[in-house]
Amino acid sequence: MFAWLDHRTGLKNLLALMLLEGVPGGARWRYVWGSCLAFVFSIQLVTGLMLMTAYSPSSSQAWASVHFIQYQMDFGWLIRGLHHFGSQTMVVLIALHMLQVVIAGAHLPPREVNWWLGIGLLSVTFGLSLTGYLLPWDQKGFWATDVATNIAGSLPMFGADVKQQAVGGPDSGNHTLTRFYALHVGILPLSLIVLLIAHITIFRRHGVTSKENQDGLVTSPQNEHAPGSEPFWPRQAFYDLIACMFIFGLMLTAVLYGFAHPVTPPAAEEGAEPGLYDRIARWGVEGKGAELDAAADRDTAGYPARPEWYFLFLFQLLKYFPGDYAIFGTVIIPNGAMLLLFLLPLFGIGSLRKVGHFFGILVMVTLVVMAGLLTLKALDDDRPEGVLWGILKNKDDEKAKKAAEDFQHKVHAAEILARRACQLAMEGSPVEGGHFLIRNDPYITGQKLFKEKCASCHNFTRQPFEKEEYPFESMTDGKTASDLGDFGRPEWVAGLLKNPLDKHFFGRVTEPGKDDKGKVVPQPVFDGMKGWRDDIDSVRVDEKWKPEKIAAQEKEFALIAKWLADQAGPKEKRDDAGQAAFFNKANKCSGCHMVEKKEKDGAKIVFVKKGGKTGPDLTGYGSAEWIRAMIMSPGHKSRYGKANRMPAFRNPDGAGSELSLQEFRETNKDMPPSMVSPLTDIDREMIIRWIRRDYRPVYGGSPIR
Amino acid sequence: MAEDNNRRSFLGWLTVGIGGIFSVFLGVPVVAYVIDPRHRKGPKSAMKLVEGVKLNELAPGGTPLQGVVRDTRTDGWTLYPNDVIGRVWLVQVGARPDLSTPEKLAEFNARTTAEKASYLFVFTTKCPHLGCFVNLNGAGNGFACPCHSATFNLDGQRAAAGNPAQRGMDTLAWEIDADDPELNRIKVIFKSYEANNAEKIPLGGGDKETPNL
Repeated sequence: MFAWLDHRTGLKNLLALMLLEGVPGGARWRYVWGSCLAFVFSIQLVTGLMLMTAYSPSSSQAWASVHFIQYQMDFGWLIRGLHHFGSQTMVVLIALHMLQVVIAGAHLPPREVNWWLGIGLLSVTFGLSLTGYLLPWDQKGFWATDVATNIAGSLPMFGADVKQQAVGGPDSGNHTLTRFYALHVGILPLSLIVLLIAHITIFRRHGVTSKENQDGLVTSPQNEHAPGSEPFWPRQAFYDLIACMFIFGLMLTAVLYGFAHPVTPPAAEEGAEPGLYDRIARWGVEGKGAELDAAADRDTAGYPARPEWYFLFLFQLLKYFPGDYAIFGTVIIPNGAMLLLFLLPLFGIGSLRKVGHFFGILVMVTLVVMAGLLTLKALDDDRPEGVLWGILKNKDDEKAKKAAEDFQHKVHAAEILARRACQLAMEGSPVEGGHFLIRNDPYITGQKLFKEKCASCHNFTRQPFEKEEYPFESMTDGKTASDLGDFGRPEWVAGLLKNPLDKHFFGRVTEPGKDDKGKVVPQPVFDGMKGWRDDIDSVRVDEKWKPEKIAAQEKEFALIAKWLADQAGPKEKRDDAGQAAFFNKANKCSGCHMVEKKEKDGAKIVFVKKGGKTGPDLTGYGSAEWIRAMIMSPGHKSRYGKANRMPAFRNPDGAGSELSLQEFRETNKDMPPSMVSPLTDIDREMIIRWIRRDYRPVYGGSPIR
Repeated sequence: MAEDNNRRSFLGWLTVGIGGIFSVFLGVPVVAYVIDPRHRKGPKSAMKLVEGVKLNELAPGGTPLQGVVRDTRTDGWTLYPNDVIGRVWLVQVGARPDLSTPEKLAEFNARTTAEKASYLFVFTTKCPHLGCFVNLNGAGNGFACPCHSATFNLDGQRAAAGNPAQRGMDTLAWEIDADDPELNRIKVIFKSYEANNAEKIPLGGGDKETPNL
C-alpha cells in the first residue's frame, strides 16, 4: 500500500526531505522555539478558520456573534479561548525565539536575510494581534483600537490619511471592522505564511547555528552522517513535540482557568439537567475561555482603555512624552528600536563577528528588559498597591494613588456592565446591536434614568429581595414624595396602611398651611389615607374593641396588602379572601377606591369595577399599566385627580406625540405647562421595569417574551 | 548500531503516538464545533394569533384568505421581538360550529386538526415541494406554486397528475382564540416541514405528522 502510494507520489522522498534534515552538532532542546512558533501558528490557523465560520464582521452583529461562539456553540469557548491565548503565546515565543537566536549568534552572517525575514514575521504578528483585538467589537477592543488608530492619525505628514484609510472613514465603525477583518483573516496570515516559508527555506539552507555549523554549511539529508550531525527525525522532532505539548498545556490551562464572565443559561427546556458532554461543550457559561467585555458603545463615559498586556510598554512610553514630544514615544523610539534590530546582523560582518555578537546580545537583552520594566511600570501605575509589593511605587504620591484607585473603580464598573451584557445576550441580541442590551437595560439604564428623572423628589431604598446579583445604590436625595424602592410589594402597602404619613409614603408630600395659632407649617397634601387610619383607630377605641378583634382586622389588612400587591399579576391568582377583606365595609376601602372585582354571573366568572371614586383606582395596582398611567397622567381622575402634585411625563418626540400632548393639555387645563416634563417612551418603560424589578431589556420598544 | 536504531524507532513511535493523541484531543472539539448546527433546535411551538383575517370574512366554498403569524424570532444570535414567522391560508369548507358556550368552545378546540377540517383548513403558505410561497391560482379555486408549477385543490390535496409535490399542502394545528369576544380569530402553531418528502417531518425536531396526501 505504502509502496504503491510512494511510487505514484514520491511520498518517501518528501518525508525524507522534511524529516531527515541534518542537525549539525545533534539535537538540542534549545532549538525548539522555531518549531513551537510554527505549531502555535498552525493552531491559530485552525481555530481562526473555525471562528470565521460563526463570526459576523459588522458593528451591530460582531459582538453578538462572538457572544454566541463563546456561550452557545459547542466548544466555542475552547476554540475562541485557544485563539485568544494563542496570540499571546505567539508574542512571548517570538521574544524567546529572538533572544535564543541572538544569543546563539544566528542572526550574524551568513544568516542575516533570515533575521530580516524574522523581523518581518514579528511585525506581521503584531499586526495580527492589533487587528484581532478589535474584532469582538467589545469595549476593550474598541477603545484600545480607537487610541491606536488615533496615534496613527496624529503622526506628521500622512498620519491623518493613514488613519482614515485604516478606519475606513473619518470615524470607526462597520468599515473599520470589515477592513481589520480582511487584514486579520486574509492579508496578514497570507503574508505570514509566505514569510514563514521563506524563513524555513533559508533556515534549511544554513542549518542550525551550532559550534560545528557556525558558517552555515549547506545541509541536506545526505549529510545526515556528517561528523557530529544527526537527522532531525526522530530526536529533534521529539524534543520539538514535547516543547509544543508543554506550550499547548499552558494555553489550555489559561483557557480552563477561565477569564470569561459566568452567566446563567436560560432555563433548560423540559427541565432537563444538561449531561456531562453538554456541560463541557458549553463550558463558556461557567466562565471558561477568554474574556468578552460588554459590546462597544461610543456613548460610554470614561471607559478605562488599555491595550493588550504585550503592548503596555508602548502605552507606557507615551506617558513620558507629552504634547509635541509625543512623536518620540509613538514613532522615533519604537521605530528606532526596530531599525536597530534590523541592522543588528551588520555589526558582526567578517572579523567583527565576536564584537557584533556581544553587541547584539547587549541590545536584545536591553530591549527586553526595558520593555519588561515599562510593562511593570504600566501595571504598577494602575494599581493603588502597585505590583511586586509596591517597590516601584512612590508612596507619597497621593495624586497617582488616587488616579490608580479611580482606574480600578472604572475597571470594576466596566466589569459589571460586561457581566450584565453577557447575561442579557443569552436570550439573543437586539438587531440594533449588542450595546443596546445595556442602553435598554432596566437594571443599568432604568436605574440611571430614575436617578436623573425621579430621584429629585422620590427616594429609592430597597429591602434585599431574592437574588440581586448586581450592585445598587440607594437614592436618598428625594425630598417631596414617597420612597419607591419597594413600591407595589405587600410590605410597602402594609406599611402605608399602618402609617400613611410616614416619610416613606405621603408624609413628605406637603404644602404650606397654617396651624391653630396661624403659624405657617407644612401640611400634608394627602390626608385621605391619614383620615382613614384615624377613622379605623377611633372606631377601635370608641367601640372598645378587644385585642383579638383588632388582631383579626390587622390580619385582614395584611390580606388586603397582599391582594393589592397581586393586582400587578394575573387576575386568576388573586386571593378571594383579600378581595373580601377589601370590600368588607368595616375596613373602609371600597368607599373611596375603585377596583376590579371578581364576581359570578351565573356559571361565568366576570370582572367588574366596583367601589368609590374619591381615591385612586387600584385596578392593576403596581402593574406596568398602573405605573405608566401614573407617570403619564398623574392628575387623571383614576389617579390622584386634583390633589396631584406630580408632573406628568410625556414623550415629546416622534410621530403622533404632538397630538397626544395636545389632547393631554386640553383634558388637563388645570395643570400648568411647567408640570409637563419630557420623557421618551423607551426611557419611561425602563423606569417602570426598574421600579417593578422586571429587568428584561426593552427591545426597540417591544417587550421581549 | 542496532541499539541506536532501536532507540531511534522507539522515539519515532513515541513522537507519532503523542502527536496522534494530541490530534484527536484537539480534533474532537473542532469537529463538535463544526457540527454545532445539528444541535440547534427549531423555534418553540405555541399557539399564536393569526392576524389580518377574521372568520366571518370567510364563507364555505368562498375564496381562501391569507393571515399572518407573528412571534419572537431568533436568528442565530439576533432576537427579533415581533417578527413575521409565517403566513397561512384559511379555507372554510363547512358551517361554523356551535360555539355559544365556553364548554362548546373548549370541546371544539380540543378536537384534532383532522376533525376541525370539516369546518376550516389552515395551511402554511410554504410549498411542500421545495418551499416556495404558494399563492391562489388565477381563478381563486385552488392553489398554485410559482416555482415548479405544483398545484393544489382548496382542500390542499395535489391537483393534477405530474404534480412535482410529494404531499399535499401542510395543515397546521389551530384553535379558536377564546380571548376574542366575537370568537372570530384563530390561533395556530406555526411550523415548517421538510421539503420534497412524502412524509411530514417538522424542521428543527418534533414528531412526524400525518401528511395531506
